[in-house]
Amino acid sequence: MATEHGTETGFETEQEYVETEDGTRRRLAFVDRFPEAARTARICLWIAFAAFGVGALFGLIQALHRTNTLRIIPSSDYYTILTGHGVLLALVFTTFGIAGLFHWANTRSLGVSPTSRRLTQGWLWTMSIGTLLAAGTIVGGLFDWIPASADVLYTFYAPLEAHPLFYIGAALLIVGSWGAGLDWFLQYREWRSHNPDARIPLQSFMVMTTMLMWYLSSAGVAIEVVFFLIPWSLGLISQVDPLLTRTLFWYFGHPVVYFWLLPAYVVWYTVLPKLAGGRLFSDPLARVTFVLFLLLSTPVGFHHQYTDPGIASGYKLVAMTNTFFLLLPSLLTLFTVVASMEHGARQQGAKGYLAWLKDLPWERPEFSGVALAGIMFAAGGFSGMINAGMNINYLIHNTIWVPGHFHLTVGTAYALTLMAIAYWLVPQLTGKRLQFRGMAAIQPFVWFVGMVLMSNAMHRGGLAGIPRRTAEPQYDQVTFDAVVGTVGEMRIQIAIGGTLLFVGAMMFLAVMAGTWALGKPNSQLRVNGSIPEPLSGAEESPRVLDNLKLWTAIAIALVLLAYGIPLYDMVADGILWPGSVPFPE
Amino acid sequence: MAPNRDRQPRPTRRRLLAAGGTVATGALLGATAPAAAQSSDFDGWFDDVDNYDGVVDRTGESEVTVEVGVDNGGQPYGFGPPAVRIDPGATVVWEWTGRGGSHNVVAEDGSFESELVGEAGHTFSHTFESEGTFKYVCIPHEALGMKGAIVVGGGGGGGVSEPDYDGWFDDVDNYEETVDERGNSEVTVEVGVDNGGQPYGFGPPAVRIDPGTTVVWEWTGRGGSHNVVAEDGSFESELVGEAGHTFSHTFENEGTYKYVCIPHEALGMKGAIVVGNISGGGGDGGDGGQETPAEGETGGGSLIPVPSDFVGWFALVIGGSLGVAVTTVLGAESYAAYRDHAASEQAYVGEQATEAVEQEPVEEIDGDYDPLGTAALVAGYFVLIVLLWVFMYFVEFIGGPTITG
Repeated sequence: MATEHGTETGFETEQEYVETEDGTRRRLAFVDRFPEAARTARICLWIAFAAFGVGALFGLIQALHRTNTLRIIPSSDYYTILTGHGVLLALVFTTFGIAGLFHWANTRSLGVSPTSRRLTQGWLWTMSIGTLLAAGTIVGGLFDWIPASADVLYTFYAPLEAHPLFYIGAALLIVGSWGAGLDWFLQYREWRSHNPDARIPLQSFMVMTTMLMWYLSSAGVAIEVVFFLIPWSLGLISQVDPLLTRTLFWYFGHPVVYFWLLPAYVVWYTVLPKLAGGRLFSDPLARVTFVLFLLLSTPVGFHHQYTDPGIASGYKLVAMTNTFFLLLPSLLTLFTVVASMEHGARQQGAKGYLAWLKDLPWERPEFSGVALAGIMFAAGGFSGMINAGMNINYLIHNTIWVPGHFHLTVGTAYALTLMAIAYWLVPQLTGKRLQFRGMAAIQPFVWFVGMVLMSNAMHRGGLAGIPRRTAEPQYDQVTFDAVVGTVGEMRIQIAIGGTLLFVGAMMFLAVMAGTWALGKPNSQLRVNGSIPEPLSGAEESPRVLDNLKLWTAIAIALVLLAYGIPLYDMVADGILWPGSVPFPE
Repeated sequence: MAPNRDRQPRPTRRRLLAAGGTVATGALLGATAPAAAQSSDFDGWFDDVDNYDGVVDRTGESEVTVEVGVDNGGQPYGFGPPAVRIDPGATVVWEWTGRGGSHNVVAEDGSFESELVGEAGHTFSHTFESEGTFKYVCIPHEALGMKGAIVVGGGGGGGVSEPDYDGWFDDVDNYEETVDERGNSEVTVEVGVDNGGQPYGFGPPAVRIDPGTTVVWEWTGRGGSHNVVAEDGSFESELVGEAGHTFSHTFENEGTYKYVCIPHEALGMKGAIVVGNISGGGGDGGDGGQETPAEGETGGGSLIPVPSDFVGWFALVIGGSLGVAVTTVLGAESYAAYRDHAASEQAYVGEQATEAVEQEPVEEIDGDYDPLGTAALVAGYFVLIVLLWVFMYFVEFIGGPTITG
């Protein structure tokens, strides 16, 4: 199926087209070109959406509980719900959604089916079992008759201890994702054997750079879980060093946000321009962006530990500098993606300096959702700069500002992008026409309005000093002074915003369930899956960009520079020392 | 039955169950021992009231005076005395001292409310007919601890039940029930006994004594250093680990005294001394005998409301019939809509799934394209970021230090 015609999007051959009854010549949908890959991607997305539904419900419970609007759970269960919300959404919804999206993107852009069915089944089962174990132990915290719990929040800091099955489940989920990455690299190797001189197709390039970054960074959490937390929770070792395990967590914990974000970038660079009616502005800029993320994502984790004692300020300063370098690829993306949308609008005849904005196809949810996610990310980028600044981080550290920030990034840039692109992709993966399109068309706006309300109030609440991660953020001794607005008004906005977000999530799931249940296979779809050539193609970029070995080597070197000495410092006084007994015991 | 739920081994869900258990206990007590079910446990109501020193017994008097605006921790924001026990039918007269500005007397349950005045000699009175505990505050000075309570009835009788510890023992594995040591003038509590497999417990954790009894805490020497610190600050031992060390305190006033070992509080090393005939259920227990549906909702004791009278059954039958009718109609409509929809979807089904035909652009723009609008938007974003940074640095810190010092 692969041909010598090696640019990433031009993978079209005559076999892909059929003559339909009405005489038009139509391209076969992805599901009929790559049935196996489509099935794998579907399974991944269904699991992701199921986790999303449960996680969204947990989110609603928290929003109403925290704001004292409706408290249906005892406050001691809040932390179980919070852990479930974080893990189901930021680990399961993301990882499975990304696996589904990448499986499609890599297969589509290489034009090669996955090479080993056994490998595909292996990673899919590993990830699924891991999810069941981790989610099961968390939910066990809600029921007395289940002798397991994992109320350790998303970050599972030692000495907070979960049931061993939680750590084993989390480890399996990550190991499974490594298998998925291997699947995609083997696909690439197969493609390369037929195309020895061609440039790597853009989507596959993005998938592989993201996965290389993921291998490098998730090694940290794998070491933390496998070598420290699992033996510790099984009682094989009596204590672990909280600082060392936290550091290993954040070694993974910041790059993981790019693991969530880069799939959204894949969509923004490769699909959004087409949805806007145009073409990608520049393929080389897209490649540069992904290479920069591979290099810079990992040596920055200390900026989550600005208030941690035991880490010298100098290391934190290095991490801050690296973090601010990361603004560069995101700002490149801002320019390239908006320029591509403008190109689309102008190709559809839009005029004016900014008037083209209103001529974009806002009525189509696959476009409006992705574009609104991008707008939200621009706001999230600003609050991220505050988080990263070592001095002003102290102003908002561990306040509700931080969840306000990441609900814009993973909670909208990733989540809304995945939902919106599902309106376009799921029909291609199922051969079923999208159902409830009216509901789909307003869903991104419901999400957007809900997030504007909730996130702005969370940010301002953080400036007023309201803490995060607490069931009852009210204290007799403290009055929170809002800079703008009042605390009561913020609580109302958070409650209404959280409710709208839940409604938006349910609308999305209704559309997906409706498409699954009411749509008929082998239909003539409303969407078209071909992706046009970029305005400035890969041939205009230096070939060294495709040298993934080189970039991986530099990324490892940067990690060694940023983490080598600090980790040595922590390990030098005894690898489990200073330690702490587990809690709760 | 219900009280056993308090001793579930795991902390989660416990609070809900405990609430259910409490109300169920209250209901039981209300039904079986109404005379004993009187509470002087104010659930932390007097935690921030410095001049609270137990309940003053004024039973046998038909009129009792409480001063409004007496000294409370150095400030004239107190009721004197804050807690009084009276007989049912007695009248309480609040008399303003004129100190501390304007005050009022407002019942927590809304059953009485005075005007807000500051004048000395002003009075307000209320007659309490029914038994129970009536908490009240001076609204302007509530945050300063100007709170009081009137306990109507009770005070006698030997029968007591487990006090309402308000979840205090939820995470204390070695708590089973309150050990009754009344009649002894000295009672010993061990410090550092087994508590769920770890030496972080008091033995026994809960003890009931008579007023005037001395409690001696004796260290076992296990579990490292411990101390004994009252939640209300009324007693506090040194922090020691040595076996045989003792600490003692004599309890003069009725009440429930909760205490902890500060280093091991999170591990459940908590205890309580109950002085006098304090029982659980308390104020709620009085009404607890009636099996009303509302009780099931508030207490979590019964999750399925079952009607208890004709009106309830009538409403259930009529409502149920209406529900069935509406469901049937909606179901039939939905099925019809589903069939129509399926038929129209069928028109698009072919041999294989195919994509839509790609739309041609209105005008092809290839090489010669300058994204000027994008440049403007990006510039606007930078301006916005600069403004927000200015806000962060200068507006947020108004009145405080700025980056220039």
